[in-house]
Amino acid sequence: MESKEIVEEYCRIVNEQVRWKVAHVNISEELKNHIDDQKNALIQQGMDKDEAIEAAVKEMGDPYSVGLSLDRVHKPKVQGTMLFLAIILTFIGAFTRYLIVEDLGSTSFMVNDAILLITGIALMLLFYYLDFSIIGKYPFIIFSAVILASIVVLTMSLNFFGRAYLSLAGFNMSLGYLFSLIFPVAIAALVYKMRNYGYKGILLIWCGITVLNFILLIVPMLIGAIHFSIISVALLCVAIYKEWFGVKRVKGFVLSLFPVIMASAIVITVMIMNEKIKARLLSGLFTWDNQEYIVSIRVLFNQLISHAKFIGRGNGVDTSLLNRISVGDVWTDNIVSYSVYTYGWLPFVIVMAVMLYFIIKAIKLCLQQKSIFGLLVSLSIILSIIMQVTNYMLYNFGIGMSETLSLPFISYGNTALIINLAMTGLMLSVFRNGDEVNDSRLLSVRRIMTKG
Amino acid sequence: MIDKSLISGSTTMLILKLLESKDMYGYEMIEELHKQSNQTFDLKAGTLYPLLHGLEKNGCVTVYESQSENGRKRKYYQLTKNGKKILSDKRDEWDSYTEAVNHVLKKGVSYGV
Repeated sequence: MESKEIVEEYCRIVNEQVRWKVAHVNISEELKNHIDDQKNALIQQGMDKDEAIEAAVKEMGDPYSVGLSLDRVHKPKVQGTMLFLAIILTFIGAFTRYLIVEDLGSTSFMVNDAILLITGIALMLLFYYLDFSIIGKYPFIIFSAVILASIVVLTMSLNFFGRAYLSLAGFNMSLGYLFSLIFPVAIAALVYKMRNYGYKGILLIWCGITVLNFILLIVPMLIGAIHFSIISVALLCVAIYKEWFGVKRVKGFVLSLFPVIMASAIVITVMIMNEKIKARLLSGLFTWDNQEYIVSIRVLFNQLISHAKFIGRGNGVDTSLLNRISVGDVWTDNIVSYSVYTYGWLPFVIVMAVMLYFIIKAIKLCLQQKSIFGLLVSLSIILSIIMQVTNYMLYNFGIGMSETLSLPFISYGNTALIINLAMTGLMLSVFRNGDEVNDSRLLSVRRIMTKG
Repeated sequence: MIDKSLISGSTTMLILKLLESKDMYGYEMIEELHKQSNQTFDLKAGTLYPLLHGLEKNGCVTVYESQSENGRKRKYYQLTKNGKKILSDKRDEWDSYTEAVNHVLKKGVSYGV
């Protein structure tokens, strides 16, 4: 056997004993480096190269017992609790939707809802077991593919109620939701690609944010664009704090926040100059208090909240208004206000406590990531979930935006439910395999690709 | 040659002690331990790495990559706050153990009255 093959064979036997395949590359790399150091030392002592390699491998110890010891240490971090919480929340959502359907006497949605639930959970499990590091190996290709695919599906889309939908075999996919939930991961990939790109990197990321926002505004999905912009700026700031671009923190923060400050300045100026625009923008940020909208669905649902009891059905809301409620309105955007009115505050608080526990645990796991790649990908997803939950709550309590995305795991949505579950699966895959992700190795794969 | 079972229990403490002075990569640790123990301890890489990876998992050490003078990337191990505490505990344990052993060896065993 050639001396190089002896080393390969040694590492192969060691890795054969380690059941978690994700750890193999790291183990081989470290063992090979060690053999190389030992070989060099032996050559310096007067051995010839082949002899030195053979002796160095022998010095390592029995590969079977080394492999077995490493197998005891290297295990994926099984995300049992997090998966359980996500599935529990999804079932709570389905059960709540079922109760609402029973309450409103319409069962037409149930079969479709059950299919979505099963598909969503299956996708979450699929993403959980996928090797997420593929995004880190080809971040720019993935970012570009997301833009290209978005443009292609936009051209194929149909317009329902003023928004773009993609109709596939009777399944209508909302492009607004799809883009809003996937774009944060795409921008995380772009941020990752820009390691040591300096200020140029920050500017290129801003170009990426602008292009993706433009696509969201074509849909149009203003609330999605707002969510996406906030998440992008947060990711950018985290990367600068971690000195990912190789720039000074203060200058980096200034450059990253400059477009935000500029955009805010323009909005404020326009508001001061134009009363009509001011009224319109304010209506998106604060509670409607205009009599004109008193009959609107929005105000009705806000009324429900104020008439809710601690437990059990609330009272005091005009029955003629209640009769106007449709399952569609409740399931998508108003599930919280309707549930609080129908079942009381207590069940809501319990469900939200589970959601909060899931979020806090996810943030902790996110901050424990050893690689910047794991941190950026998981952060982009958990921030998206936090943004959605916060916005949905504010909307349902009548103190938020005049538009909302979805309540992850709970509210109904062809696209939102499925994509949120898939993205949760991806985030849990980061928590599962993140320990073995190595930024330098991912970047060296890219360098080899570029050279090739 | 020292009986291996005598050192196996204290290897973790020795590794943590080495890392107390500076960050090191695997090969460096074996060499340093060999040198500091007057060529007595000859730790195998196959013993060292599972131990180091276990310490990393338990939060006693962290790992970072750095390029050496010859341009090769190396994984350096660094002692954490938790690692320092574990080292101090293991040291106390070791002191009481050796004190007890020495006491028995030097003075003999008292079987009580």
